[in-house]
Amino acid sequence: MNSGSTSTQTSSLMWILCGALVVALVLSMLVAPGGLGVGGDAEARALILREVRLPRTLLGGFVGAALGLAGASLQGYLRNPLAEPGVIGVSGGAAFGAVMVIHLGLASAVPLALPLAGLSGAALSTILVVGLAGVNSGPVPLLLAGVAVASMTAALIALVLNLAGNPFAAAESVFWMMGSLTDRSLMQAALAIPLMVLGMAMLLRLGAALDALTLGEETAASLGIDLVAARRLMVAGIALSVGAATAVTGIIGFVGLVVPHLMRRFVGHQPSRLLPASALAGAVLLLVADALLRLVSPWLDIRIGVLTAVLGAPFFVWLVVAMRRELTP
Amino acid sequence: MSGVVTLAGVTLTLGTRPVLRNVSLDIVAGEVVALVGPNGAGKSSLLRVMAGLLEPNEGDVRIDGRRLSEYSTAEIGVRIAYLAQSREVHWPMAVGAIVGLGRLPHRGAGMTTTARDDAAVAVAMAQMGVTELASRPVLALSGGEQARVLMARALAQEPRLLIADEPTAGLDLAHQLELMQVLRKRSQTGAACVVAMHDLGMAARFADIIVLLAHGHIVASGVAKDVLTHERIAAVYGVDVVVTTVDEMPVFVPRMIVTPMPKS
Repeated sequence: MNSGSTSTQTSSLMWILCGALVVALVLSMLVAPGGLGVGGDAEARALILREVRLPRTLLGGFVGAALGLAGASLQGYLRNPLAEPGVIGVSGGAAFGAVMVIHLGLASAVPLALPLAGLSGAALSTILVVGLAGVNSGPVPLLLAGVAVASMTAALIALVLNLAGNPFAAAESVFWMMGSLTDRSLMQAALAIPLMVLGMAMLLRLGAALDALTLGEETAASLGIDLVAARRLMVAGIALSVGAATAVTGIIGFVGLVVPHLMRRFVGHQPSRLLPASALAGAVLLLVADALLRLVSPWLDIRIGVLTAVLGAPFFVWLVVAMRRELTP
Repeated sequence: MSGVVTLAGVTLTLGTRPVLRNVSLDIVAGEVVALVGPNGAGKSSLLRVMAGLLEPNEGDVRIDGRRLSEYSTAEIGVRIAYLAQSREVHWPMAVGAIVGLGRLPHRGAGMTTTARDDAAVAVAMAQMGVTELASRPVLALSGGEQARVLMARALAQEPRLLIADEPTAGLDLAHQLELMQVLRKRSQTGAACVVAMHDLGMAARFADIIVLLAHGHIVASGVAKDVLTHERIAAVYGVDVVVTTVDEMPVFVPRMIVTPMPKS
């Protein structure tokens, strides 16, 4: 009775999102540069589907889900609708690790060097953020430490790019950071996906804690929520899911910020309802965006991180205007 | 009869500031206890200690005879409801969903609500008169309405010990009376209620026991007519108050400040 209509709405939205995800997955497997279908003979077709399309589709789905879910969790934990996974420094750390490997020329020499360096960067920055914020502290120290570490990694990346003797290495780093699902191998997918799944499983368990935190930390604690455990789960979940996603695909911005906002229009503001919806919608959004990019790729080569930023920023402007209209009487 | 909550020699220091000094208190089931005293007397801190949100430096806090520190966070959630003075709500969730948060301790994470949960939420919303607001976003309500929603959230928890920090602040007269009557009703079903408040008349009328706090220690506790005397109020609040009764109801009329506010 208390929220019956909303919960029916939510469950029908979940079915719609599941349906959309299936369509997006099929679409992602079928779209070729400039059109639909798979060229060549049977053997070539199987090879393209398995070695080119499959990792791209899998990564698109999982990375989109990881970013959407991480954004919704972090916004719920910080109780701040402007939070996105990057603010706690994980993606900056992953990017720094990757840029270092490109700079040292190991990226093409050693297989998996790039994603492994990205993962190490994400892990190191997480350890640094937690160390700086204090193990048992609340959201504000965590946010401050995250911003500090993110600006540190941004400065270090700028330094590495500045010192790059070879302009091609600098260009490669810059393009890598723009984020892309192109030319990722099944091996890279196999490395990142289990970590993302583990991280997302952690984040999905945060529903009750995030709901309770709506009433503030004291009330949440009085409702039986172990805030220290919840924070650990959230930091580990974001480090694993966003760290693994960034290590393999580069920085894909705005998905984590915009998807939870988009979903609030349909499922309301209750964090526990927002988590699964944001995961599904993030996956759909990234798969569809990537399929669109492939369609236009023969004429226009745009990276997915650039597309999400180009589409996400105006959407965010629209959100600000809409929110301002709601807030001013 | 043993207490729902028993404090023995509780001392609390926050930073270097002594907040509670040697506080001992026994609150039994079926009692409404009003915690009164000037600003900064330690009322909120005492409530937080009882709720397990602050750990005292010395002394012993027991809930149903067992040390509070021996309970898990989840076990405390089932037994104690705590209504904070700051009425924080961060997302514009529907009123029904906010009140439903009171049922969180009664179910494991991710489990759906049961008929018992729905019933507890419905009773709490009806008692606080917010049933009609169920589908409204809580942040669109007035301050007083939000306060009633949050009280309903605490009632929905169906606690053995209900702790509320100034729940009547910001409520209109009708809703203040209603809230105090709800507390009485809850205590009759076996709960203990501890409420910090500033309205001495309301406290004297509706509470079984008045606990008068000043500078972190209990000045007096007992029935209203013994505790809230003219001399004691003057000594603790520094205000000359006319203490009288109208239609057998205690009335306190502040006449003038007699001593400047003492510094703690």
